[in-house]
Amino acid sequence: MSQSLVESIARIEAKARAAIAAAAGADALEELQRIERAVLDKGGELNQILRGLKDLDAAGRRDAGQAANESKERLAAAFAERRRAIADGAVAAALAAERIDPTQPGPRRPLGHEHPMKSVMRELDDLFESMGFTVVDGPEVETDFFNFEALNIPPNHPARDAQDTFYVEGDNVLRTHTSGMQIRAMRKYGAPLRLVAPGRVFRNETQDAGHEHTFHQLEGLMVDEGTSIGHLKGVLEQVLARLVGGEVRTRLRPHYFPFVEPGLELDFQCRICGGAGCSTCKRTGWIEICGCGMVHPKVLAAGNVDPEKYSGFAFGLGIDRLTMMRHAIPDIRWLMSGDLRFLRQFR
Amino acid sequence: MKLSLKWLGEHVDLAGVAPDDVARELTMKTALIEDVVRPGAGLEQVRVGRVVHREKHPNADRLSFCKVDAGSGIVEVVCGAPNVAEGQKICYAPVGCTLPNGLTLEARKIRGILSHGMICSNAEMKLGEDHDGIRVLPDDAPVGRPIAEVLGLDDAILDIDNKSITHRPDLWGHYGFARELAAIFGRKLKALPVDAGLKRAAPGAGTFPIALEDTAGCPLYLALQAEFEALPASPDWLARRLEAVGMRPISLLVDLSNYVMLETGQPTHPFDADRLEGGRIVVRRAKAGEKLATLDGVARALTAEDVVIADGAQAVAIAGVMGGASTEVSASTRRLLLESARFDAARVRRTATRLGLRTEAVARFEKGLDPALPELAIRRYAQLLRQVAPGVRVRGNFSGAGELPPPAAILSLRPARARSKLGYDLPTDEMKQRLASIGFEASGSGERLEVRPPAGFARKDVACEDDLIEEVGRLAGYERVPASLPRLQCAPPRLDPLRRVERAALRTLVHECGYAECMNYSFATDRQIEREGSAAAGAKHVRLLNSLTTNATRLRRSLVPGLLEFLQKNLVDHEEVRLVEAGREYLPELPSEYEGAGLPRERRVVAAVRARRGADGEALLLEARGDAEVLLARLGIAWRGRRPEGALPPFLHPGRTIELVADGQAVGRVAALHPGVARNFGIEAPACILELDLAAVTAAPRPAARMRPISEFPPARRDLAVETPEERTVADVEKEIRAAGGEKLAEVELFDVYRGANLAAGHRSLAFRLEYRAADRTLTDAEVDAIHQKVVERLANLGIRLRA
Repeated sequence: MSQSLVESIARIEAKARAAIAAAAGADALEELQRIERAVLDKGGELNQILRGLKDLDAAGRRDAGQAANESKERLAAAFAERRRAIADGAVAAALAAERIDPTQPGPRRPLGHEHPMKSVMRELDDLFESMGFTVVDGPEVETDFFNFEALNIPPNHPARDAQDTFYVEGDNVLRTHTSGMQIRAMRKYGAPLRLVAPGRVFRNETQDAGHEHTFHQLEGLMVDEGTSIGHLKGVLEQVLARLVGGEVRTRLRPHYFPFVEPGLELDFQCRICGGAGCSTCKRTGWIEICGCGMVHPKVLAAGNVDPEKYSGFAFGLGIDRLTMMRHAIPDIRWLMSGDLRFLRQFR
Repeated sequence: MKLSLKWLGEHVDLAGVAPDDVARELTMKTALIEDVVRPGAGLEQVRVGRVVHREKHPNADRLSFCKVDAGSGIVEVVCGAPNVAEGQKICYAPVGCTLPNGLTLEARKIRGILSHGMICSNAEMKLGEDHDGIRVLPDDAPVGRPIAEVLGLDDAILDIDNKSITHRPDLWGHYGFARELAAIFGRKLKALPVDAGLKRAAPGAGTFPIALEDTAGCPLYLALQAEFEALPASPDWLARRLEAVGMRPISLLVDLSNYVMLETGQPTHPFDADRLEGGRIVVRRAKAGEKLATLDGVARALTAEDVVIADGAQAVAIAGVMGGASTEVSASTRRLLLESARFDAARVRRTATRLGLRTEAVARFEKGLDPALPELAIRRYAQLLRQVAPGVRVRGNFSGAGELPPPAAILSLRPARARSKLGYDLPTDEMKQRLASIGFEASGSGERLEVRPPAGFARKDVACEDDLIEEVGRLAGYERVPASLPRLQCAPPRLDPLRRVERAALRTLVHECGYAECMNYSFATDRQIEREGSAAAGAKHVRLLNSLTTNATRLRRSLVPGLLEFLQKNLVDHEEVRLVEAGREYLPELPSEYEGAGLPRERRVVAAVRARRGADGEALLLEARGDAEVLLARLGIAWRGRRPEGALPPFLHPGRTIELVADGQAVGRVAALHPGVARNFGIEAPACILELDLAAVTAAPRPAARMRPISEFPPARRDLAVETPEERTVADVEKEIRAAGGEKLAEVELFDVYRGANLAAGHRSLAFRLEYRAADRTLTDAEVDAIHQKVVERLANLGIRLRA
């Protein structure tokens, strides 16, 4: 009796296996589910058969029960395997069928653009901040005292000629450089001190491709005991290496600014010709990048810093020129043009 | 300023030093050389030749067949110039030579006769435009010599960046640069040839009467007298020297004056002594209303600030600036009075600036020349005058009034301090030697050197220890300074919150909201103000007093008008424009946050505009408001929008302005552009404006986000559409919904606004999605329905009807 029950189980299993193997096509998964219900559910064929167990003796019940359970497990595995095969087939079919044109653009989303000069300014802020320099701001309408007198440029000093100053009502000026921030910062924070003051400066000039009445500088100042020209050179070389990338060769040469002594100009070797001379460097092999020097003792004193105890270096980077060099912008007036055809070319 | 290397070579032996090396060393140690020009470049192989024979070319009427003695044998040359003649000294270019015009000569047959080289015209040598014929040289030109040498073109002209010598009065002449070169190359500086016997005469017989009334404006006035029947023209060498450095030769007396200035740095002025009325000189302040016709023929109005040179009757020169026309030397001049004086630098500068007269003399006097220079210049002038015009009777002594100041104070230099500032170990002995090379006598050793500044050439720029450090540093060479990084305390830098907010705002608007960042001038143009309308015209702007640019006469009070101009321009070729700028508004009526009298408040703002052709105005405004929502969310500010309070700038649409309020304070605005202003600016597309006041944003509370507990239980959602009068704000309805919904109402979100025919007039429909949720269990449908019913009832009580 148990023997016939076991045989029935085997028959059901064989039939189910054939059906599982036959399930195919678009509704194969539904078909599998239907077969599974018919065979394995509570009211399914196997369970129907097992109702006959109650008529068997203990040994027969054990054998038949065991056979039924084993058969259920095998069938469950067969269902799972068949389902996996169908799913794998679907993946393979999808992979075989699905293709895309890699040159077709995505839906257009508005893309913003940073101003190339502001990008350079932010990069410089971050760079100097990473070296422990405080970034400070100051007024663009400046007093004669902070813009000139405190910087060792008394009235009637010939250096005032080179400045082409815009005067405003009330004896004030539009700052001609960011150097006045040296005094303001020293008075506010005292020594030791290291800061940069980026910002807008003005010169009363007529505009052309190379001249603007409005441009941008980054003033740098470091005051400490024992600060030297060597430190100035070291810091500026780091900055240039970051800004321009890679090895940068520099040279210091004398220049005159009333607020530094010694007064210097930093050049870096032209990267286009490697120093041999080309049109970019006006055939000199070097590109003038910033005026700098050791803070004049009178300027330290005007900032209420003791020039006997402290020394300092200062420099002024021209940001418009840096930007123009970086992006090969031929005319300075593009920077303030507000022209989207220009702005959209930058990240 | 231009320097002739040949001229420099007269004062310091530069044999064996290439012009480029001179330029490089000067650039690295003294002053920037902007350019080196070689006037004889390309003429190195062109030599003086003599035409020993000429006949007509047998096969061509217009050509000549010549035999030329070029110093190294006779050559046969075919020449096409009409003016070639036997016996002439000419410029001969041999075969193989490349001329400045790029032509390389080869022996070639011209109409059957082989021509070996070429007889050159000025044009072929790039010495002029003249193509008419060959350049004929003077008869005494030595055959075989390079023509560059014969024509004085074997020179190099160095172009100095004047800005790099504004502090160096000693460098405004060749002799000063010769002194630098002597120090740089370790060569000897030759003494300047002068008429050493010439002395300043005691006042009295034979001297020219000089009354020095303005001793502050003119501490020293010297004058040389000379008489002559006739004067020769300036010799070639003199004229060429002047031309080489860019100065036009005029006449002997003037040319010598210029020559002495270009050599010593001291300007002098030649008067026709016979035209000085009363035969005397008075140096005084100009009288109010006094006028003088200067050499350039312009009548100049003078003030009491100006120092003038007068004769017995009237002003004859503006001291240190320009001479007068009435006493100018001319061909009929028979008596010279040469002025060589010291003038107050600041006074000369002020007068020149006021008159707009930038002369070579001004450029020098305003630097503050050495007190000893006037005497040196007079002696040099006398020596040169005697040399080139032997017939001239120079008075043995010169007249003078005024005194020399005491010598410059002795300075001290601490070598240790110099080493500390330079950043390397420059030996004390070398410091002393470097100083000595430029005339500073350093004595002592050890901690403190005593340094005596040189006499005779003012180094006004060397007045303190740091100035001496510069001198030794530059002459030793800055390339010796090793780059080193300072050791720093690792304290973090101070942070500027305003700057952080500005960056965050720009980052959000650019990177998330698609705006293009632009920059604009700080000026408000008249056109902008006019387009903005009457309210802006009445506002007080900071005014510029001396602008050269018509568009830069006032500082802007807002970034928006400039942005509107950009918007209008960009809409020409863009469908949609979004622009943002961070900048300052200059408000003179508010006090500055910085120290300094009369400074305006500089309010820092971020302003943005956006426009899209064909957009619905209200929809666009809501998009712009969406930008503000993203922006303020990123800035971490809790805020709400309200109708604006108080006066608005004229460019905002008063009915479509949203004030952004945080903690009771306005931090910005989103608004539609005023249609009238849009018309004025020529903006046809709907446009919106977003403004953020950075100081206000910085002041607003920005607490760190605190995590709220997250319910594990699913929410139940109900939609609610209500019909409300237009005046009732969304915020108001939402507030009522939340009040009725209580704590179980977790979210309220407006998802649709509808206006249409089936609504009452002046009404709109607002559709909200409500989310109900409990922290501790899943709400049953019955519970949710009960709360939702309370919401509906509360709205109904306020007259807000549920839409079917």
